[in-house]
Amino acid sequence: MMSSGAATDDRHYLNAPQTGASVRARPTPQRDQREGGRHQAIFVKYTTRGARPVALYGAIHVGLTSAAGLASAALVLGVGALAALLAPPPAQHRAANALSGALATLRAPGARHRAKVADIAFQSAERVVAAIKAAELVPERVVTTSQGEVAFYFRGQERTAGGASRRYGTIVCDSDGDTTVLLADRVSAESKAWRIDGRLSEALAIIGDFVDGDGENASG
Amino acid sequence: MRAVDEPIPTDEQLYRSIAEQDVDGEALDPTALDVPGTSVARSKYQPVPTQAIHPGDGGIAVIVPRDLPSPMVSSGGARYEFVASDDPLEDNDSHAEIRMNRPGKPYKSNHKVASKEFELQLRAALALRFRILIDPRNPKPAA
Repeated sequence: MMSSGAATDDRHYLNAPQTGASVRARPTPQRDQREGGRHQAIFVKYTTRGARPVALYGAIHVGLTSAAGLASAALVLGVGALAALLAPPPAQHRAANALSGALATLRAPGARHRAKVADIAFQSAERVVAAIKAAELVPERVVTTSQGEVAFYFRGQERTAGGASRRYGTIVCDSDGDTTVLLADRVSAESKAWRIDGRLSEALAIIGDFVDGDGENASG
Repeated sequence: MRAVDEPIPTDEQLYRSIAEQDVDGEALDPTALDVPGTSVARSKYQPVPTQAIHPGDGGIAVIVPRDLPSPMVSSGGARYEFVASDDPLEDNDSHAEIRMNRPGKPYKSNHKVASKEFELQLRAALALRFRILIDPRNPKPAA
């Protein structure tokens, strides 16, 4: 939604109360007497379902008095929409699909620790995968353990001298049906853990902030 | 089966068999370890570390008792200390365990730690103290 008409400032900051997001808009449409039309910048953002947003930004110059201007705008929008439909799945989507495949492999008869991992742990893990698909965080690996768990590991970019990730987060789905998050810092040796009660997206956001952040969530 | 041989010297190497999935760089991930007891092989009775590798693993992480973490206390006040305990088995003379003991209480292999959250923190603290001796991704003993 964009304010119109009377603003004199050349920038407008529109706050969306529902999301708290701030949107910066280009100048309010102004009558251009010389060209007999008006200029408007429109920022178009396409997203593909379940994938990392793919943003296509185009500034469309619409000449209100020009049929050619409208036609060119329609052409730009059409090409943009087609490109979004034909584009390969974003990396996030591919990674999430690979994760589903990895989970199926771990669940197959004869897989490592398979006999120790209860079905309920895999069911919890499937909910984690669904949440990962909707988030922008991809685990580095998913493993089963001799304790009957399915564990997703998320690693930060910062490395220790030995080449390990300094900060990591793991979501552990156990055979009691519980899902627990651990955040750990290998340099400070601090860690923090809590049980998730269905708030997976929130947990993923915290993990993402932690592994590549300042690590403040691992203390206290 | 040999008799229990305790205490385990503080500088005796204890070998933990690990797989590729357990390793991040030169560090061990916490889910590579078990609670309340993590099985290890005593170097006194298994001097060749490669022979402590379990089928399907490929690597060895090592720790000495003096490097075990300090005692930890859960948010509910339960105190746990890390202890290297000799635990020879019928088919494995070298077997020992790194146990998470509650002081003054007998160890039970089926003991459930105060909470899952705290259990993961215990495993993370212990994992930090291991070093990779034989990397399962490149199984040549480290220098």
